[in-house]
This record gives sequence, structure tokens and C-alpha cells, in this order.
Amino acid sequence: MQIAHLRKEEQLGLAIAAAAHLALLGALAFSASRQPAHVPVPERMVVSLADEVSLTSTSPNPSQESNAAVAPTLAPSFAPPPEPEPAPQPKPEPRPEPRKPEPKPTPKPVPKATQVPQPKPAPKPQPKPAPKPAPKPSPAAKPAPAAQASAKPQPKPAGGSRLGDNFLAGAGAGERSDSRGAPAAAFGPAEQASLTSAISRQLRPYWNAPQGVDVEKLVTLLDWDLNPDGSLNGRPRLKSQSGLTDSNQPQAARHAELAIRAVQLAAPFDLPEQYYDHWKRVRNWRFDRNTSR
Amino acid sequence: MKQYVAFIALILAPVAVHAQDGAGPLSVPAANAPDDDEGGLSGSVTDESAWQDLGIAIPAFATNANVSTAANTEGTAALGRELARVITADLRNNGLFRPVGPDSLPRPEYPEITSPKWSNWQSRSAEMLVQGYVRANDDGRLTVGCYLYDVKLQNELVREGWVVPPSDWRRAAHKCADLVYSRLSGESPFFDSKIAYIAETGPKDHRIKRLAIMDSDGANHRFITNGQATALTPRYSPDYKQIVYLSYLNGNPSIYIYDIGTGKQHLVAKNNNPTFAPRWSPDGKWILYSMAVGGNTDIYRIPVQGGQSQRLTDNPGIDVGGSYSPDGSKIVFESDRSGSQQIYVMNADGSNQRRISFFGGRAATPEWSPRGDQIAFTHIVGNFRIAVMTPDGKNVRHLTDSWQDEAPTWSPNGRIVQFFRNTRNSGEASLWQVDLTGRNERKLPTPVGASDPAWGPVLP
Repeated sequence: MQIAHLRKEEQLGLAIAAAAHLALLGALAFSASRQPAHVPVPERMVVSLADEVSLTSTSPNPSQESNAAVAPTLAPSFAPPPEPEPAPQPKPEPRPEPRKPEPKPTPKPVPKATQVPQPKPAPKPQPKPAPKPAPKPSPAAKPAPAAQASAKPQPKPAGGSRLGDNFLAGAGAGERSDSRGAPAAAFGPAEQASLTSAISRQLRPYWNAPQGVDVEKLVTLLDWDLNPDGSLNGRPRLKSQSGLTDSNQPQAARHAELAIRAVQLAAPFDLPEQYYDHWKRVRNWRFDRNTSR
Repeated sequence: MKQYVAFIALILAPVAVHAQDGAGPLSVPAANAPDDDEGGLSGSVTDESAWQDLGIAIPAFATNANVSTAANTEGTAALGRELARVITADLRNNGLFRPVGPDSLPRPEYPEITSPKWSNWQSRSAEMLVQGYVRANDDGRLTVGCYLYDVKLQNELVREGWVVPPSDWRRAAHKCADLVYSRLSGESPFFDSKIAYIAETGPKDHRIKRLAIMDSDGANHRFITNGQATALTPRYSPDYKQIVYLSYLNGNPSIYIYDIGTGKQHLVAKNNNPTFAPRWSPDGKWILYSMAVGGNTDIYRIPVQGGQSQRLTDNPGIDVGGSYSPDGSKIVFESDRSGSQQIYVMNADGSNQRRISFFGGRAATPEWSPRGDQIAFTHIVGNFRIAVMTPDGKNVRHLTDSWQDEAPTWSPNGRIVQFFRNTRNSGEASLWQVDLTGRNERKLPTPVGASDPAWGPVLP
């Protein structure tokens, strides 16, 4: 009605505006439907930052864990029921079994003093010495699974899953760990970073780049070998240099010489001997100068 | 002039001191076999420390027998001490080293020169040790040996010996300083060279300007002109035998070449127009200069032997101060054709002229480094500062920050820039040197006020 009061030009303008809005909506809808949001999902990456020197492995020590974890939880389960119900949980059993065969050949773990006493403390809270012998063989020997299986039915009411977990933990870490030999210190990224920063820290007091124009662009890569006592095995070798310009050309040889000198003065290096295999060869060690100074 | 005849006749034969025991500068072995490349530990170490000077101990030079020579009356023992003092003075103040001279160090015995008593030196802060000896030969000449040791590693870095006439004993010391400097810095030597400059005396409004030369450490100073006519902008010829400079001998600025050997000089461009800013071409065959003809200044070149001048620029602006690149293919010069002083580069025949300075302010007195990698100039933004840039006009770096630093010229090794500095009120001018890092500035000792320094090439 009010539209009727409007003048022709106004009506026309109104119509055009309405049409344009519709067109805009249409265009937006079209483009929205047409452009599937292709936002690339960033790849997940693992970053390990290690700035402290650790001389010992950061990975868990298997035998210690098994001792702590297995004994207490297993003991209660054994005490009450000798009811054999292998059927309910046959699945968990096979899992431990395949692992067990490996350790079999070495029954040595069993006699270990540390392991034997540990089960003992566990029973104390729950005074049932009889089961003791049973648990021991269970992780160590094949017959054990059967006994454990019998035990499992009982926990069911309380929580069958707990037993399974404990059992696996004990099997993986306890006696079996000894069958794998001494728990070698693991060498992971953290240890690598520690060694790297240890060498870097010992080199730094001796590493002084030569002065000159553009010398901060120079980078010298050295190789050297080390003896178990940390001393140099042979002379450090120049691997390569980069960042050469017309202006710093005269300093390049001196740069490499001073880098070699730094290694010679820093030796013998104080590094953990158990990782000797990992630091006996140093390759492509980079000598440069902080450009921010 | 006998002195200079002696220079030319000077024998600097390397002495076969002792058999080299393989302590070469750097034995770079071939890259090791790639088979053991994997499995090695890899990392990096960065020099985070502030620049620090290298400590060098320079005890007095030893002698086998104390005999008096023509070099001094006290004998070779005293001479050995003087040698060490000259070396210490050379190495001091260029910022790279912290030399400790013979006056505060024990003097090693003659046999110790080739096998230092490490225990004596390791307790001191010095990382390097310079030992040497001086020996009087039967023919009256001196043998000077110079040894550089790394005290921490206990090995010898370099050694060299020279036979010099007694009058040139200072040169043997400069040679030893050069040896140490070039071995420890990687740069070419420059201590055994001469400097030409303009000595200024008298009041500010009536100053007498004379051409003078001296050793790079200020010793053996000598005036060449008597001051009746003002002299300016000296430049050594590449063969070191001549100096080209500007003289107002007849009231008009004209270019003269002064022959050091004969003491004679001759006019280069014979005409009545004012000429100035003479420079040698690297091959020593041409003189580049500027000439004002009818109010328009352009750059010309003329054969050293005289002859027809060749005009290189043809522009209504003032084109002045050309300097050849070390290979002689290009010329850097200053021009105000854009309205203010800026720096331009052209080919040696005058073609392909283009501006390279686009960093604000005015830029004047360009000088191409003898190594070709840098161009030094005076950057005028309020104050006058010495700056360097690469030949494409990039990477401008200021080396000094004072009220008025002007007229940079290069050391023979292209690592040190020499210039003169005017103090604000007195107008006193003095010679200064700064290395390319800009960190190490030193004032050159001159008996009187000094400007327009020019460095001569290293003596053979």
C-alpha cells in the first residue's frame, strides 16, 4: 500500500535493490556450496625438547616395575579361589603365552633374590602363604597360566580386567626382563640431545671464530673420532665449509683451523661411557658464530 | 735518495732457518670416506662470546753473540729488544690482538727460540708466542728469524727469516709483524708499507700543506715538498716508485708526478684549466683526473708518459674523483648530475654510466678496494662518516661515527680504511685507520697535523 505511494523512480530503485540483494544472496550461496573448505589439516609432528644432560636412561626400568606392580595385585587374586574356569578368559592367556616362550630357555630369573622376596611382602597384607608358589611359576613357567586362569574367574566380580593388565605387566617386566639380558640403557632422542649438548658445552669455551667481514656467515663442519676415554682418535677433519663470500674468503682457512683447535683443546671430552657407541664418531659438527652479536 | 736506492737493492731473501716440520697453516685432508658417515653423532657449537683480542707474548729477540752493528751502537742484544718493541707496536691497536711487549716478559735464550719453554708461557694469559733472533752476519748484514707458536696447543704455526742491511732493521720487524698478522687473521700483510699524506702546519686561515711520507707506523718521517705551494691528494703509483698529487704551484691546481727515486717531478696535463683528483690506473699506465672546462667538470684520463687526454664523462654536472676497480675494467666516481653528490659507476671507456648510491644523504669521494669487494666513500648526512658498500651499492655499513671524517683510502690488503678526521672547533686534522668491521679505530702518530692519507703498496 505504501509502495503505491512511492514514486516510480523509488519503486524502481526499491525493486533494483531487492533484486540485487537476492542476487547477492544467490551468489553467496553458490560460492559457499561450491567452495568446500579445503583447509589442509596440519600434520601432527612430535617435537622433543631436551636441554638437560641425563646420564641414565629415561625409559622405564622393566625389572623394577614388574617387582612393584605384579606382586601386590596378584596375591589377592590367588588367595580365595582355586576354581578353574579357563573358558571365560582364554583370550588374555594366549597373549602372555607367546611372550613367555621367549624367556623360557632362561629360568635364571626365577632364582633371583630380589624377585623372590618381593612376592613375600605382598602376601603379608593378605596372609595366604600357600598361593605364593603358585604365582611365581605362573609368570615364569607355562603351567602358571592355568593357575592364573583359575584365579581370574574370581576377580571377575571384582573386575576381571585388572588381573589381565597386571598379568601382562608382570610377564613383560618381571622375570622375563632378565631373560632379555641386562636392561640396556635406551638411546633415544633425549639421550642424543644430551650427548650433543654435552659436547657443545665442552667445545664452547675454546671455540672463537676469527674476526673479519662476513665471518659470521662462515660455517665449518668437522668430523672427528673419540676413544673410550674421551680423548681424540686422530686429528679432526674438515668436512666442508659454507657461507663463503668474497669478503670472508681470507678467513675461511683460519675458521676451520680454529674449529679444529677448539676440538683439540676441548679433548678429552667428558661423556658417559655407556653410550660410547653413540659418541665415538662425531660427524658434521657445525662451528659457526651467533649473528645476533 | 741513497735510502731509496738501498730499498730497491734490499735483499729480503728467505733464510733457510730450519727444516719445516710440517706445521703448515692448515692441512686439509680429503673428505673422509663416506662409508662411516652414518651413525656418527652430529651437532653444532656457536661462538656466542663477544669479540675478544688474542693475547700475544712478544719477548725480546735473542742473539747468539752480542756484537755491535751499524743498526745501533748497543749491539744485537739491544737490537733484539727494539725489534720486539716494533712488532708489539705494530700489532697493538688494530683490535685483533693484545700484544705484551718485551719489557714485561723474560727474555728467552738463543737455543729456546726453536723450542720454547712452554711452562714459562702457559702460566701467562697469552695464547700465542712470537719468538725470534737477530744475528750479525760476517758481511755486516743482519739475519732476523721470526717464529709464531700456539702456546695452548704447543705447536709452531709459522716461521720465516730475512737478511737485511742494518739500516733496514725496522723493516725486518714489520715483516715479522706482517707474518704474525696474516697468519692469525687470514688477511694479506700491510705493516711493511709506506704512507703518503699532506702535512698541515700554520694557522687555520693560512695553512701550509706539504707532501710527506712515512712508514706505516709513523717512523722514518720525511717531507717531500717545501710548502711554498699547497699540495693535496697524493696517491702512490702501483709500482711504488712515484707519487701523483695535486699542487697549486702556479696558483692553478695542477697534477704532478713526483719520482721518489730521483726526487724530480713533472706536470702531467699541460693546460690552463684547473685539474684535480688524480688517481692511478691499476696497471700504472694511466692517470685518471678531473678537469673543469668552462665551469663544467668532467673526468679524463691521460697516459702517464703524457699525451692526449681522453674525456670519459660528458655531463653538465660535476663529475669528479674517479677510482679504478682493481681489474681496471670499471671506474667509480662522484657526480652531482642528480642534484646532489652521489656515486656512479661506469666502464673504463666511459660507457654505461649508472648511479649506485640510493641510500639517502650525499655520498662523495668513492675509492675502490684493492680487493674489489668493497667501495669506501664519505657518507654525508649531517656529519661526515666513512662508509663502505659493495660495488652494486648494497650493504652499506658505516665504519666511523664522528663529526667530520673524510677521504677514505685503502690499505694494500683492502681490510683497513685510512681517512682524516677534523676536530670540531680547532679544525685540527689527524690521520686515522679503521678496519672493515668498524670496531677497531686507531690514530696514526704524525709530527704535525695531517690530512689526505694514501697508503702505498706493501714493499717487496
